[in-house]
Amino acid sequence: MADDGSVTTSAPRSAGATAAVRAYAQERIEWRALNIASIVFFAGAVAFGVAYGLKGDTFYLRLATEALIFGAVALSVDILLGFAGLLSLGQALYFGLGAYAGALVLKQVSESFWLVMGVSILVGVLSGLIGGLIAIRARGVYFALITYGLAQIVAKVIYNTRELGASDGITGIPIVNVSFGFWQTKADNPAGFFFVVLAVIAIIYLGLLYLSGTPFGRALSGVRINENRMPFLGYRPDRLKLAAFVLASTIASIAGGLYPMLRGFVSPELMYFDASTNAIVATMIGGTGTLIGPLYGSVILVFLKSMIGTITTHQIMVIGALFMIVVIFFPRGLLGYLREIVVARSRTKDGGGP
Amino acid sequence: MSSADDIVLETRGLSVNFGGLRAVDNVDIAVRRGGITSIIGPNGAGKSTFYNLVTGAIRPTAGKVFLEGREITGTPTHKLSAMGLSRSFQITNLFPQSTVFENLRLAAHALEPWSLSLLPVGRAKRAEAKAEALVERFGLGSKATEMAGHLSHGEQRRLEIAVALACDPKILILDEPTQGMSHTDTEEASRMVRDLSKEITIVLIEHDIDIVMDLSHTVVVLAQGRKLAEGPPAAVRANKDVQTAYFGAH
Repeated sequence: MADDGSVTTSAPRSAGATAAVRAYAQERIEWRALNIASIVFFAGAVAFGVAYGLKGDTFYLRLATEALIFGAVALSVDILLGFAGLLSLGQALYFGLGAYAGALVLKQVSESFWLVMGVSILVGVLSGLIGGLIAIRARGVYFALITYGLAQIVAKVIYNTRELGASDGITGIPIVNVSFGFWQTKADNPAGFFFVVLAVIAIIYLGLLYLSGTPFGRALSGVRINENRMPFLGYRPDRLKLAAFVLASTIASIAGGLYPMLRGFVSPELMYFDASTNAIVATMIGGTGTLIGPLYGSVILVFLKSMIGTITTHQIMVIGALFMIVVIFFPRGLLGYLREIVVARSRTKDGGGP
Repeated sequence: MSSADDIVLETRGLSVNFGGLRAVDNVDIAVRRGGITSIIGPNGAGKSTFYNLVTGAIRPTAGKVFLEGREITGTPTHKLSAMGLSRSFQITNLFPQSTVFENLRLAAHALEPWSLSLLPVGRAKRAEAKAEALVERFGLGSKATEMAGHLSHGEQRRLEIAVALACDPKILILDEPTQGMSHTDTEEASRMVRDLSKEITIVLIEHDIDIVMDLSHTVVVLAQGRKLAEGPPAAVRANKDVQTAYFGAH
């Protein structure tokens, strides 16, 4: 490395542009590939929903709906891992709590979509605060182990609670009527419910995309990149991590609230380690820190599992192999790789280069 | 309150034990406003520990620290920068995967009101302007959009100081700012520190005694956790105890 600060071989500067303007312009380039990918994703989802809805399909629409729901769990992993640098091995806990809360509300309180959404947000915030306050006291691998332990404990407790259906879970959940005022559908309408879930996921995605461009989102990145320096700048990493944790658990819990509407049942397996790792695998396949990547990853994973499931019962081996290939050859994930290519292209186009 | 006006940073009887070792032992230091006060000492003298005690990274076993007359002993680190105390690091401690501009924007934003943190970054104009000014002042304008981790060592050292300045400190503690710099970079950095000292009070923690002699109005010598001498550079240099403890150690 050159030890000489006076010689600079910088990329060309647009005349008169301030540092801030140039920095923001570069950030836009970095997000360009991802923004295009997200437009493709959501436009593709709408086209798929319309086409398969008109065809009267059930199987693929319900599979896609499930992929979107698990995609939200993957998004919650991405907030923690991609933004704040926290690896949660127990994200399924908050998904499962939202699912159980949703199931109980639907069976015993009211068959209201909006009540389930409200309750699952509340459950996500509260459980995230409790889980977060316990977990963020530890760092790195210890944080991961605590999140894992919390999920295992709660899953076991539910497994052994007869009032919650024990190992059978809760079944016989009524079909929900979803009303937006101007339009309504039922949860057993494959295309209709697909669009409901797609709308929820789109709102979550856009919200997170917005947050990534706020000082709060940037501060989370600061915690990921160099947590130790943050207090010396005046930030409180513990508070920031807790905020990220609560945000992530709330999103996982919202996804959980949608699940019993789709499947009509919930069971302790929803909180198991497998479910947590699926969200991590989806995030890493799609690209950690890219937001849209985890949604792609989830779709790939869910459809792949279903396809392989028709051939062999050893799906987990194929998924494991795929995961290893991605980690070894595309450690930044598919979308992370795409972003790199686009950024590199724009550099050469400008005639400069690092 | 005249003493509080003159003295920016003060320690009284500051001590800390690590197991059986008394790493800092009963140190009284008063840093006057303006100019450069240096704290020097051979390796293992307790400089870094002293520094960590003052900046809240370690809690003292005994003694107190005052910032402009207010006691700050045990104050959490994140509050100190809001109170006007900032530090740079001996081992560069930046955000390597962020751009130079983002490093400074992040630092400049820390003390902005919470209400701004959920608006788009571009809306926080004060932090943006401060980051812009620092980019230019430290000659990093052409590097603003480069990753901090891709800068040369000398540039990273400059950015390190710029980041520490982003919270508008009243007092800036620099931990061996010229660590590992080339000769030209060291001269440049010394000039920069001297310029800075016209605006804010600087405490320089240094190993390199030659840099300190030129720059500071007061030199404090630490050895084996204790204050050995304090005074103008020439007097300290002439001190017999200092010569045995410090120069003897070379």
